[in-house]
Amino acid sequence: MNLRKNLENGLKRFSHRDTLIQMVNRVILYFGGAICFYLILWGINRFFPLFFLGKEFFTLISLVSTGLAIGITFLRRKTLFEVARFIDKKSKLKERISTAWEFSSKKKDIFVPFLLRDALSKLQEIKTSSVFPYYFPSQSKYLFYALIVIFLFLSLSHFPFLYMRKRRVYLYQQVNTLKSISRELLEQGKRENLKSVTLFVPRLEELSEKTERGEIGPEELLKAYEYLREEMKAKIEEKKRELLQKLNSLLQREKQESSFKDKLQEAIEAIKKEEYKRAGELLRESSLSREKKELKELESLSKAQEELERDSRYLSNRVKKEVKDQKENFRGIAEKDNQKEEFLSTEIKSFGGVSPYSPLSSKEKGKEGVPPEAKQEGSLSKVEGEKEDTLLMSLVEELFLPDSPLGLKEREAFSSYRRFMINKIFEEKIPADYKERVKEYFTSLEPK
Amino acid sequence: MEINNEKIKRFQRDIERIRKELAKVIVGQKQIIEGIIIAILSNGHVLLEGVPGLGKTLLIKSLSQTMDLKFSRIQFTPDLMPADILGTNILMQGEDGRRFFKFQEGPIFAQIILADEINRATPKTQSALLEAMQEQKVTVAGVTRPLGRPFFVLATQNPLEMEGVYPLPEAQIDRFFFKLKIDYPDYEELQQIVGQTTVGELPLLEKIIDGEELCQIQSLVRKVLIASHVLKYATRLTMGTHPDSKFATPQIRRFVRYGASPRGAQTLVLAGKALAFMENRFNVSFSDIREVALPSLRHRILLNFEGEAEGVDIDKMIEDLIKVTPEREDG
Repeated sequence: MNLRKNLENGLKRFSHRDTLIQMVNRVILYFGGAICFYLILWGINRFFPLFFLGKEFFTLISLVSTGLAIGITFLRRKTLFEVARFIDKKSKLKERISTAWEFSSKKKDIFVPFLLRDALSKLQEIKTSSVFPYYFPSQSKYLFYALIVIFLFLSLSHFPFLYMRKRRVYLYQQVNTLKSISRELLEQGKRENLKSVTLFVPRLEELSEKTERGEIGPEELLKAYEYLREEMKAKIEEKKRELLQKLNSLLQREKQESSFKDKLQEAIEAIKKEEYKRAGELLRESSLSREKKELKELESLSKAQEELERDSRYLSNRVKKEVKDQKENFRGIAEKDNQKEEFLSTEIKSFGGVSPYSPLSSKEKGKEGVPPEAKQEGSLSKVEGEKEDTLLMSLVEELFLPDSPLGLKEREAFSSYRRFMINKIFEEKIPADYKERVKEYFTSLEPK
Repeated sequence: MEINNEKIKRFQRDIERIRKELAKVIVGQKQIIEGIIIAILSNGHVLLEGVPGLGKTLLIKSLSQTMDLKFSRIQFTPDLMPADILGTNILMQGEDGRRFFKFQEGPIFAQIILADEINRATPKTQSALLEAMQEQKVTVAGVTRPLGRPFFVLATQNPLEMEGVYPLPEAQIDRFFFKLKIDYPDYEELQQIVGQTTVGELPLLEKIIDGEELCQIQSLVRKVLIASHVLKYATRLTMGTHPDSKFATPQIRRFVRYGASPRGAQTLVLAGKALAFMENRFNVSFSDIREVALPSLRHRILLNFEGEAEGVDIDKMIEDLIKVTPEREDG
């Protein structure tokens, strides 16, 4: 019996190591798979927003994959007989261990004790690491390939033809914020029966849906944010004023206990400082149910307002950054064109000919004022009519002004202008039938 | 029978000593010596195929010396009758003048028998020997007489001569535990043989075990342990010799008419046990089965006409089968 027990313990030593290695490798593979899966979803999300993505989702799939890896390892772990066979094969023990394990419970056979002793002595000589050495899972190379493919796929989003899609991703955070604010307000409003809070819900939802559908651009969204914030602020101020009046009148009543009065006073001060939560806590034990409800309304609205403000700040920064990048981009293009032009004019001069482009330097050109092509057929005036809502349009306008400090040349200005317009064609809501005509129009403006 | 570790070790040492003793007179032929010892330990008989003059008689004689067993040699000829092997009742006269029959034992009443050129005798005589081998007893004139224990027959047949021979039928061949093929010695071995046998007399061999001990070893060998997966492997290997088996190789499917009988599987396992015992182990391994597969199966596979016509090598076919048969049942 002892021999069998010893053999079992010896085999378990190997089995534990094997299980551990299998588990580590499975966790590597499954967790790697989960990362790939998440990255794929993240990539898809850049084109088709997936609202469940986020830290929580990543934590969930990580936990599920790790749990699966551990669970499958335990379900598929080798039996002691299989471990014994593996040891026999790896250590060339001529089936000693497996036979010993199989016959260990059969006492009748003469050779069993001899074989068990023999097997045990051999088993003690073997290191677990020699039978089950650690190896990196060979399948991990597929994970590596998958990651490369995913990164290539993700880099596609940098191509201009995907610009429109990219913009949708760009506003994805705002859509999420709006949805989360409206959800929170709705839940709280329903729970506490706060009418003024629920009033904002349909508007927030509408705004988020429009943004999601791409009907609203960043500039419009910023305006909508501003409007909503103002409205919320006004509502908060109104509520605050009413509440303070009520509380002050309560405070002036002589019948009240001094301790209650103290608390009331403190609550009034907290409301003035916009610490609605603290005020609510101070009045928690009082019988002022209406006032407590109003405090909750104030708390929800101020929280929503803060969130809107934070998101609005973020969006505004992004828009500014985009404008700055665009400017730098234009400048880069202009410089390149300048160099090309100067090179060509020098070449032509050396042949004694005339350049098809203006041989003047960019400064001289700047003095010339509006480029001849721009004057033709009132082309720019048409564009100017649409500029009011677009921040980037102001940049174009700036580029074409004769007194612009940038002082770009006709061709530079046109190339930047064309690039901007092509982006606009993809970006803005232009009816499909008109797209070609708009393109043709701008092509006709191109300097010959 | 009291069996302890010491006794087992002694038996295993004795077998090793027998090998060494035989090596004093037999140069090379290690596989043949090992095959014969395995067959004796498994209580089986050996069919030895080889040309004359390769030391078969010397080998068997030497073996009988080391084991202290009664040896007899029967030269098979076409006119050899069963009674010449088994013995016969002869008419005797007693001191009182009365006549009576007395059984005169034939050469089969020995413990180690060399049946030389067995395929020269008629089938009737061959079957008399083979029945005695199988039953380990003979019946003459209605009286059954047991043969000595242990009982071992080494039959030889000459593969070169085709005329005037009576090839053993398949059913008879199946009764042999092993079929061993003895080849010419190589250059160095032949030099050593000539040098050893032309100077003085052959060395006298030491008696290492007796018949009773050999019987004890034989019963111990049967108790050597074989794990289920090794047993399954032996079964798969035997099944693989059948042309309609899923374990068979394409060559076997094409050229074999009949595969090895269940006796073939029994031989594989028993021989494996004997080999393991000889190698101081208490269990059979896959390699034991592989090692004894050729002598155990080669005479149990019957080629079809196409196989015969193509001159298919059965040994090669078995080697291929060993290569493709996996140790694990699931492959």
